[in-house]
Amino acid sequence: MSDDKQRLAGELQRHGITRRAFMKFCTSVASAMALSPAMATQMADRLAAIQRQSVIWLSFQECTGCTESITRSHKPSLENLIFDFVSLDYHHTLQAASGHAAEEAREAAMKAHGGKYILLVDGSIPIKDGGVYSTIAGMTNLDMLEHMAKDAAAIVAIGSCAAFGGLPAAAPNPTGAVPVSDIVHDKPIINIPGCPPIPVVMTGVLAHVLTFGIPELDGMGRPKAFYGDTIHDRCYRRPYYDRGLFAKSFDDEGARKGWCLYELGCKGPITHNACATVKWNNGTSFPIQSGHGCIGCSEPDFWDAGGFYKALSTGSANPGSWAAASLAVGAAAGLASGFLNKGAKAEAERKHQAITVDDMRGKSDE
Amino acid sequence: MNEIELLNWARGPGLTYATIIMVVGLTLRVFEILMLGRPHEYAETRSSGVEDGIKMVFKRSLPEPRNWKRITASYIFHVGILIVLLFFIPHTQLFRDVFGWFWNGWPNYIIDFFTVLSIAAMLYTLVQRFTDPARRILSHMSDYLAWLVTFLPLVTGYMAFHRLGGDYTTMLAVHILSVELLMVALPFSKLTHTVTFVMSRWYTGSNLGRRGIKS
Amino acid sequence: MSPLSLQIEVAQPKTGMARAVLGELLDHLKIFATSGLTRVIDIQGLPLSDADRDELTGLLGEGEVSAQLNSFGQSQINETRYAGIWWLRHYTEDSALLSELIEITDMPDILRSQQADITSAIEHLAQTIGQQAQENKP
Repeated sequence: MSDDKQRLAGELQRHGITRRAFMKFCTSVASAMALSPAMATQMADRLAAIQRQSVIWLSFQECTGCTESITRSHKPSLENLIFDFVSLDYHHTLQAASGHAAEEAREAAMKAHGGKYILLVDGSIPIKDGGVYSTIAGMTNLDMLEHMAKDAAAIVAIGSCAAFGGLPAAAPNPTGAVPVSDIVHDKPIINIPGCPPIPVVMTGVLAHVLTFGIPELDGMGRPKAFYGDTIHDRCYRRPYYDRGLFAKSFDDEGARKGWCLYELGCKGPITHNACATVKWNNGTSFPIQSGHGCIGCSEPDFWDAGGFYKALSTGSANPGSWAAASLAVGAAAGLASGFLNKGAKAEAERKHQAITVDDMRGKSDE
Repeated sequence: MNEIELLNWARGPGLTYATIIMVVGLTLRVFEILMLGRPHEYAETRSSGVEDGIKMVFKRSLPEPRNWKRITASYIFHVGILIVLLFFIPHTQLFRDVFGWFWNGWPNYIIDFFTVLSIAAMLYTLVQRFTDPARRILSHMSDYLAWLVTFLPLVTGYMAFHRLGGDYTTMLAVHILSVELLMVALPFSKLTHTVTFVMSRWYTGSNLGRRGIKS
Repeated sequence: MSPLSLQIEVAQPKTGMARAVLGELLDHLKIFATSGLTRVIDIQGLPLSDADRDELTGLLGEGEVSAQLNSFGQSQINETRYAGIWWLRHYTEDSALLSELIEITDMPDILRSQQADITSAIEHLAQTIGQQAQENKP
């Protein structure tokens, strides 16, 4: 029982949350991750047993949007509670301590749970000029990540910045921002991209990691449970795409009828995420349902993939701008080549020798 | 390089390079041909030949003699490729972005039909090339390559749209790259006829017109 | 905030899945009757069209027991007209559907009072009794 107080079960009790309420929560998480519902009980048992300080959150070159997403709630939710419990001891935005005390707490947590803690990272890591463009307590992000990753059991890269580089890595990438996977190569890394990721995706994956270990990942290290399908695969506006009914501009007749947003730049076909099924704000809506095309925020380089409002089939460069120059070069080359040809022709005519039939008979040995 | 990086390269720098090479190459060819000039006309011409030339450009688009039963596989895939290229809705978006003009696309099921028709027609012409002795003797590597670079965008486009061949992002990148291959090969093969057909039809029509031949 | 309702002109007809699910439920019910092995099916994981779902709820119907759980939003737990087959619907505080399950059992786990909660209740009740005793002292 007193051991319970150190565990999540104790924390839940302190907040007056019944085991029944916790079961309901685990059932919905298991359902969202397409796990067998029978595993909800297992998940509840194991989650209840997790201790504090088993998770350390590192914030690097980020906008804090991922933290906002995971804690976004004007009323406390069970997710927030669990989350606060597991990462209370080191999280820049949520922790009580600051300054040296905070850094000491981080080191202490690392030592106490060596080899067993999960590292959560949000934000990219700048590496240009020795990594000076983002530092915490005088330590560069690069050094801190390498130091903390050594003893971690696994690393979860939260948000597109940590997973793929994100906004800081967009052209011209002045700070040399790179994702976590470019720095750490010897630990399992789970990427949870999105700008920001959907809250239940973050908590669901975290719950899975803490209870059953690392979920099945795709080629880019993303959990297949949430990133296996593209938005296009599960979009409720697919019937319109298939029938070729597209909105031509925002708020036109087609847009009001809820037609497909392909022509308005929707990147749904190439974006892997759970927005179309899980949705945002507790299942309220997602960008396409609200009439705006998907911007592809959970894929790498989405900032540099051409405009958000240009269809996927358009180029991200502007080939037309080279037209005049190309025509001029081609014309000049053509004229030059033409002159050379004329010269060769004139030369051939000049060298032309008339021959007679007798000449031909005599030249049989040539 | 992951599949998104490949797609972004194909849609970005790839498209730019291919466009430059194609425009430079085609312009070069056209100027070369124009510079060849015309042999001196020694006989008295029946007409200037200009109007006859223009008429010929359009007339040759219809099958001859005016017997629609003799439509060839080649005619079918030429028409099919034009329709698919110009009227598939995502393609119309690309052209609007590059050229600024816009026309309405056609429904997907029509485009699908013409794609399959064109693929079948192209395969038929390939078979003809192999089996007909005369055609086989006349065919060289450049003919087969020209066929291949024209065939690939059709097949990869069909596969991408219908979500065949694995991951969609990769298939879309492959489709765009196959188009860029076509663009780069175009000025340096017999595929220049995409542009020069106007010139050669005009020339033929003009010659015939000068001699007063009804064409 | 009520969910947006959009008119989609594509019909979602019955696919016959409802009858297939019934068959599966019968098998599991038989297994439960003989061995006591319970089974939970996540409805949101099944490929049911809207018409299929309506058909299934119609076929299973409502039985004698209807329970409501109030915890971080409401939950409806009903026994269907077939004893041993329960339909559970969990809602969020904003009345959005969180998860939906069918359980083959004599009593869904979530309806039972949980061990941890009973332990907690013992503590609190003891405290309350202690307090009452204090207040009743003259």
